[in-house]
Amino acid sequence: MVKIDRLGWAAGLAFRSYGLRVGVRVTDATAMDHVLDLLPPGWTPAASPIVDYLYSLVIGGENVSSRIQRFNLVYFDAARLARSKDLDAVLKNFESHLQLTVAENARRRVFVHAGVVAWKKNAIVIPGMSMSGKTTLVSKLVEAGATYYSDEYAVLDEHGLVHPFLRPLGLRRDGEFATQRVDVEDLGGSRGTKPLSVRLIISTSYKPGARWRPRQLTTGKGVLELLANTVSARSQTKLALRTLPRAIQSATILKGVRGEADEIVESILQKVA
Amino acid sequence: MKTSNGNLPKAREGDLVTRQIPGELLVYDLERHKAFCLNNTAATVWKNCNGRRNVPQLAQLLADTNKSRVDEKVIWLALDQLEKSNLLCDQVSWPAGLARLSRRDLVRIGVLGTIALPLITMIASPAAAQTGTAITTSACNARSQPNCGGNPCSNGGPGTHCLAQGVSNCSCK
Repeated sequence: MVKIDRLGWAAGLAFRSYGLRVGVRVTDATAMDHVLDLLPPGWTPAASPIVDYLYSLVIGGENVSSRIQRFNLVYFDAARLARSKDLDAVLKNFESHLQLTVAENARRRVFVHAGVVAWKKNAIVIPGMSMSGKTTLVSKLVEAGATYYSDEYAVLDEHGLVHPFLRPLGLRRDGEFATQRVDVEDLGGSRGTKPLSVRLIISTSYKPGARWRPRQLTTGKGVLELLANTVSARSQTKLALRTLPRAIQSATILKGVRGEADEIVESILQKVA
Repeated sequence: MKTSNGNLPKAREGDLVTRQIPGELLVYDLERHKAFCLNNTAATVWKNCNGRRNVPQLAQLLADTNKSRVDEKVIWLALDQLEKSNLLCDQVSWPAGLARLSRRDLVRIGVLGTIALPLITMIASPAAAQTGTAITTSACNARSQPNCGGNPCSNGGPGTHCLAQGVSNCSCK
């Protein structure tokens, strides 16, 4: 850590996010603008420079005199996370790691990997791993009039209410793997602000040609569905087991494969009506 | 694993977090990072496995609780599931001549009362990174060990994850 500390730091920031204090420092002040775009939604600047976790970004680029391209590096405390001449790849790793660190260590919040929308002041939670099609379903629900809460995490408090985790949706075009960030307003939707109780859990994955014939799960099995997507399931087990049953105690839990997202949007919204 | 003395099954207590919800019991195994959902029948059997009750006594207890006749095969099925889930201290010594039965077997031979057959549902709890967002191959290649993370790779092929490659690199595989 001492060696990293000796590098020349051009800019830095301490911020708070879900009860954690996080610091970021960069060797090139112009990179700070990129960094700010990658911080978790709802972050606030911290007055104190004392932090729980520290990220250090060493910006490489071309050395004009020697024509040698230097590596971009990112460190998490003293551990090197990534090293590449491609700055975007390094920044993506920074964003991904930061998001996961906050999600895993957040105080009094449980982060479930899930999409969330609101309909008639009730939350619909769609848990699922990456690439299970939850962002597509969220975007179709938003286009149908639901309010956008998240396409990444259902953030649950100790009372079981779900809070917004607002960042642009990461949509994949057909046949493409890279995601494109789309503001919810571009889909004709709006952002939620207030915490809501969960009314419906949709545990599903996309299967071409499949018909949506879900089966209803018990609350206990519903908790397992959420726990399988809970970032802090291992590190904050007691908090998760206290929070998840509360969150879904009055929710309907449906599980099944689905075909195209448009085909099930109406059926989902009717469940909450 | 030891064999319990004369089939007096005892529920495991250490390294478990439990949470009772209406009609079900959630159990988290901190040692193996597995989570279980026990239905009421399985939960009643498990909670009453105190190392002093035998199978007929457990069947009677379950019958009294539910005000219904309970076949001992139901208890054996529960113990079988509890043992497979590592929720008992010791291995149950299965009686000679009694085959291990599934829920389906019990339904087929007509062992159905007014109580539900025991059922334990299990999931393996994910490590934090396994719940993470998918990353591209170039983002994975930029990572350094031991921080490959295990995230799913979005363009590394189906089912690929960012894992250690060689001495210090990471790659989607």
